[in-house]
Amino acid sequence: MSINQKFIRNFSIIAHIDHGKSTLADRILELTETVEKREMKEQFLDTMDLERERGITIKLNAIQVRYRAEDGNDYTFHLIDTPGHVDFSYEVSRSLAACEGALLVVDASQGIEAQTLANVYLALDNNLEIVPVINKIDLPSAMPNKIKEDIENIIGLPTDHAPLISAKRGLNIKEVLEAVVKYIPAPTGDENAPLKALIFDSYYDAYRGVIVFIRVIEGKLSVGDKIRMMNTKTEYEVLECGVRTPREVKKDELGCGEVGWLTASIKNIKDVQVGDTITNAQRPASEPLKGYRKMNPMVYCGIYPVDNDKYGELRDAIEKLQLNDAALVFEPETSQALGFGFRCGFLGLLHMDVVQERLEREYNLDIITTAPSVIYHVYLHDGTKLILENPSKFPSPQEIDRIEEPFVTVEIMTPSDYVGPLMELCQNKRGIYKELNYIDETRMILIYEMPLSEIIYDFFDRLKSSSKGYASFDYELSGYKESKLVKMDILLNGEVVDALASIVHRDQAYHRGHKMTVKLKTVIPRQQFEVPIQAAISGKVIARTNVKAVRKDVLSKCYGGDISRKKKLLEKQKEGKRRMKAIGSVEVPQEAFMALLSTDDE
Amino acid sequence: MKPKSLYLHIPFCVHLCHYCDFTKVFYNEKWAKKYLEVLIYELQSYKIDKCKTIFIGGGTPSSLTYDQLEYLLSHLNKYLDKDYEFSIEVNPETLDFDKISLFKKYGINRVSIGVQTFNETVLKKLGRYHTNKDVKNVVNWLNKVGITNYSFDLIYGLEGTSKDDVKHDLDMALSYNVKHLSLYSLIIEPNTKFFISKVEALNDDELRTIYDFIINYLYDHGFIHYEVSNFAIDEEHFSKHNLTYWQNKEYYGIGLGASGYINGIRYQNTKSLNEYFNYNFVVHKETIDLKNKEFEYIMLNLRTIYGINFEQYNLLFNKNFKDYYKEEINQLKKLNLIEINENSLKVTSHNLYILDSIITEFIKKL
Repeated sequence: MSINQKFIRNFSIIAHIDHGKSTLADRILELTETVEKREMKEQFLDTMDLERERGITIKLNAIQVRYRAEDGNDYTFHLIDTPGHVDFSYEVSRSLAACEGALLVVDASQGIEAQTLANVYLALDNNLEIVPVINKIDLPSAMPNKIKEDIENIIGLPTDHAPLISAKRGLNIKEVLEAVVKYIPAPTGDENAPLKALIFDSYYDAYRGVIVFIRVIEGKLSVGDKIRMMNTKTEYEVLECGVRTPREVKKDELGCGEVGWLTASIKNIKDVQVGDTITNAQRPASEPLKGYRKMNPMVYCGIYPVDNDKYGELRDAIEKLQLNDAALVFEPETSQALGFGFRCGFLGLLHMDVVQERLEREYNLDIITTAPSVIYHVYLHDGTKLILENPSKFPSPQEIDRIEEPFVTVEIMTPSDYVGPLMELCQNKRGIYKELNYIDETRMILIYEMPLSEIIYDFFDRLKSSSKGYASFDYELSGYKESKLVKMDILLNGEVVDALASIVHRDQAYHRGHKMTVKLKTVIPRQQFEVPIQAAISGKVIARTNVKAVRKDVLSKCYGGDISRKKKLLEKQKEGKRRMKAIGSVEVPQEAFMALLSTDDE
Repeated sequence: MKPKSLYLHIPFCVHLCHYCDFTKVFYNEKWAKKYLEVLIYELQSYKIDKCKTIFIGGGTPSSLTYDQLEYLLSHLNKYLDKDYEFSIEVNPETLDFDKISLFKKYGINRVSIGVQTFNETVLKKLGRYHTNKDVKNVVNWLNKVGITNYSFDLIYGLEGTSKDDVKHDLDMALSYNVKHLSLYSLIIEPNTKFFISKVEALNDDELRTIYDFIINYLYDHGFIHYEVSNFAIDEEHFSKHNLTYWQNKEYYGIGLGASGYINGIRYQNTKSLNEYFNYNFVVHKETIDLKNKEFEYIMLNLRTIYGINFEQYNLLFNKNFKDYYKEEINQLKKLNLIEINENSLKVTSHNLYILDSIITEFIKKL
């Protein structure tokens, strides 16, 4: 039986990382006794270990909660979790589209940050009712009144009814639930119209195929219905549907306004695109819901097994990850230095990090990742346009007419004290100044247009160090522009290592070449012979260092009792060697391939 | 076949050296007496045949009193095979003519003297309490009783020292007509006084310069560099006992913290004196399987001038060394790190200083 829409509330929680989103979600589940206390693991919504560890939410989740309000009525809440990072902003926007409202959680001592704003704007774009919630009021440094003022001034949201809470201590959580009932509107879809359900998440289950998370916007969905994905144009029959409480509960149908899941023996996650509309194949809606967008990777890198024999295992692992991650793309590639591997595309740097870590942790693979690259548009003299994301595949400079690279608009929110150093940073990163605005008397928003490749290269850390950690940033693709770019090769012991090639701006080439060779010198251990490291452009060496030959590597004393100790030492050395990649006769550790990223630019 | 080598550990020391991380306890007459009784008990619990080599190490074996030494030595005589090597480690300040006469009486024919350096300022820094005069006396007494096979242990590489200090030490040692020299680079080990007081050793490049000098200088004076840190005037004077270890042969290890290798099993004795006094000797045993044996065989044999003997290796491990390690051998040969002939492969003299990196090339395949 469907629930009366009047008593349904669908909402998300928006917050900056560490402002307490997951903790609040936990408290809500606890208070509504959806999850019993003894079953509570801290932060119930974050199910992957990686999420829990990093304090970020990667996969979305939707949970049904029952709440008896002070007005005496029983309400059904659907709490829809959203990922908290810019890489996943499209997924955020789709899960927001499944809601009528959002709780905006702001840390009472930290205030509003750039990412919070980005998500607030996403919520406003989706016409959501936003209820501000001031969290961590128990902290000595809490300034709830100042924060409320900020929210009113910066976002223009009234804060009269904003609950002041401490999610950690469970303080005033009931006020939050009452605010949800009072201020967030009930769904108002037409239950007799043809089915329109929004897909906002999915994951792959080995036994049942893809499990699709949906919000029924109009009409209803029943087991046995023939359904059609309106954008991917695929059809399936619904085998099961239901809700999460967070335990899975099967139902015969999902009514108008409800949030739940369905299975339909879907084998390919690519058929289930976030943002797509599900309709009834027999009685289809005339047009899909607005806002669908195919997600395109912005950042690419090579992923190789350290041990070439593990190529098959790596492929299996990436394929499995892809079952759950429609945004991850990959294709086989070959490197002279690294052998067989894959070029993988990601939504952004965090997405890339997460995939790498899961390959290492969940699949126990030793992998080498090459420095990430953006997608370049290379125009040749003969008019051909090449789209390249692997620096080593660049044609020779003589053939190239011009190169375009992707630019992004970067919004940096910072206390005004750090504007100077941050502008200098952006300038060094080839940024084009756009705007500088005061948010309030102490904080500013700095807007630059900047090559995406510069953001990949060490931007985040330097932003933090230039602002003592106070600045936050967000970026959005703004388009392609011509740049004076050249390919920089790295030679080890006289041989070009294709996996170390990078695309750099001509004016920065000498500087980068120098930094890169110096950095490599520190990560490549001494070998049994001297190893020259060179950076070169079009065959011309622009920087050079040497790794000196190892001079001492022996346990000088070795008698009876010492044997086991010496053995342990050698076992360790042997293990270290196993993790290195032999390039020609030079042994190179994994970090070397990421060296480009971590060179400290002065 | 039963082991033909026997090691006995005497853990007592009168002073603790600032760099030492071996098993040791302060000398105490009552404990020493008790210790020797338990030691002899442990010794007799093994059914030991006659041995080709016996080595009494420490600690400081010479810190025992005359009577204690006599008690110990009188129990060892019967284990000596004909044509044996019987060594003892000594510190110069703990000896007198009577103790040395005792050595002679009970068949000790090789004495390893902990000289460390002839620079008395550095000696103090190392936490050593003897003087150059003590060394001179010991050498005179040894010559007097007719023990001519004596070796000096020298240490180099303390911060603030240089090649010239090492040259001085070598010149002094040569003036005493030593037949054998051990030269160790200082390693700052955890749990030593040096480690705690943040004393440092010279860096690897400086140490290597000194090592290269030592090899060349001693070569010029007729010494054979027969192991990473060991030199002798001829093959006769190589330490046969220590070669047991380096050629991966089996041996008995008796005493506190000692380790042994019998019948394919390596074992480790307790380092706790209380446990030892309760007759709980062995705390750890490991059967060495073929793969581990090969690891150890390569790791140890490459330390010596004999290197790896192909015939012996092929027989022991049922594979052909030269074929199995073909690529590694070619690469190492190209870099002049090894010498190879029909029968054997060895690391070239100076490159013994990067031995671990060479060993790793081989054992990474195991």
